[in-house]
Amino acid sequence: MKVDHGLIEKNVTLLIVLVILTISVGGLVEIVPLFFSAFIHRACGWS
Amino acid sequence: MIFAFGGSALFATSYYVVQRTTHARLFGGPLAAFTFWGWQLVIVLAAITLPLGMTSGKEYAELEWPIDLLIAVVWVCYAIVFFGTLAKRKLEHIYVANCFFGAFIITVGVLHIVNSMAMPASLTKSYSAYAGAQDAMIQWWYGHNAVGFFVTAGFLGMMYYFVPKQAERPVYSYRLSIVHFWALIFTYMWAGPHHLHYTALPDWTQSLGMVFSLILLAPSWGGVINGIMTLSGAWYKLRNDAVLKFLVVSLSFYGMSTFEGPMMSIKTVNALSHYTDWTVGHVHSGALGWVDFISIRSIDYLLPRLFARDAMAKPQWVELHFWIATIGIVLYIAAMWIAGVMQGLMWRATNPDGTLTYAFIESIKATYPYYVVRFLGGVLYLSGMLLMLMNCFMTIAQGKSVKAPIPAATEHA
Repeated sequence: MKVDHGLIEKNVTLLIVLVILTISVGGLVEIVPLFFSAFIHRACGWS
Repeated sequence: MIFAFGGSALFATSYYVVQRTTHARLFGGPLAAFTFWGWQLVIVLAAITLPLGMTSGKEYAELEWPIDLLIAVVWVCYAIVFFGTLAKRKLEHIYVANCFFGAFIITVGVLHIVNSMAMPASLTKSYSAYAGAQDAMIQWWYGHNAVGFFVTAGFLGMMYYFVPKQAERPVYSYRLSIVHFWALIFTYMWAGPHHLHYTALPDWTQSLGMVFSLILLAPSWGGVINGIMTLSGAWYKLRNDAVLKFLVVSLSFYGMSTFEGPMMSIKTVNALSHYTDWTVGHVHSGALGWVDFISIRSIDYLLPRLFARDAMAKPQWVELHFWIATIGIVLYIAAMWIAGVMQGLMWRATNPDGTLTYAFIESIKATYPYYVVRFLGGVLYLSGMLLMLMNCFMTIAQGKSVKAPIPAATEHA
């Protein structure tokens, strides 16, 4: 399948959506698990 | 400095570049003026409230909740103006500089809103919605990407317009600009934990942050290579074009600090460099060398064009400013590097019986000469800026404001 970047360059909505998806990954991987960490829960006295 | 000078430069250049590269007027009418006054109000409020001790205590995000709300409103309006203009563009393709500006606007909005979540206790005091290790992680996810997007992606947008314009050459590789754009915005978002080495943050998060910081070298240098290689075939222009000199040195500083950054994010190097003046040197080679230099020259490019003049009132002052500022930065960062490594070594030195060799105050005393050199560098840099300020006033005083004609829509890169 040929990937054509021209598609993104011609569509503002697509550009915005793809940028939001691209920048979301790092934070989701590094921040969200901290809220479910048993270690942190113990350290905070939540469990 | 970053939010007032850098922020205003970003607003100004992004509004200019987006109109130039879309052949359309700014979207939203008075909304653009609102973002200007709103942002100035934010800066004034910051200058008043912070010295009064009103702070949420989050680094680079100290402002209390009412000002945070104002920032959020101004920023959303900024996004509406920018993307609205892109939407009504008269050219089919969106130029890559606008991709960088766009990603910068979206990401800074997301970072600011998520990180500033707080519960107000009174008009001037609030408590963060997060606590402990999660708070630290969110803070540096925000903090590092304030660096990655506010002072990198936005300024790369500037670079992709003003370097080709000043060199009168097309961008070296359009493909490279696209590849390093996506790689840069993806990778930067992972690098935050390198600010939290050897803290209560889980080890896996620290290591992940370090690895992604190292990977970040590649997309950063993609931008440097693309910027500098744009000059290939136009190198002779460097001899008498002071603006171009500024741009090339700016890209060199960008390359150097994005090499230094990944090195400092390695845990063992960080064990030496953290909390020392090495970090201060690193930040200033980026902020003064890369961000300021590219903004200064964008202004030198913009002002004569906005006020119907061929060049700045005193072109020879631009050359003078270049040398004063460059020498100033070199003195500043060299002093901070040496001081930082020395502090790191002194703080970790132990006697055979395990006690510390030096008291903290001894490291301060040893740093004193380097602070004098830094002061000298700072004075040089400041005097260069004052020279530029004079030059700007003179250019504006002698010029007249013009309405730039909007060219007929023809497709070109």
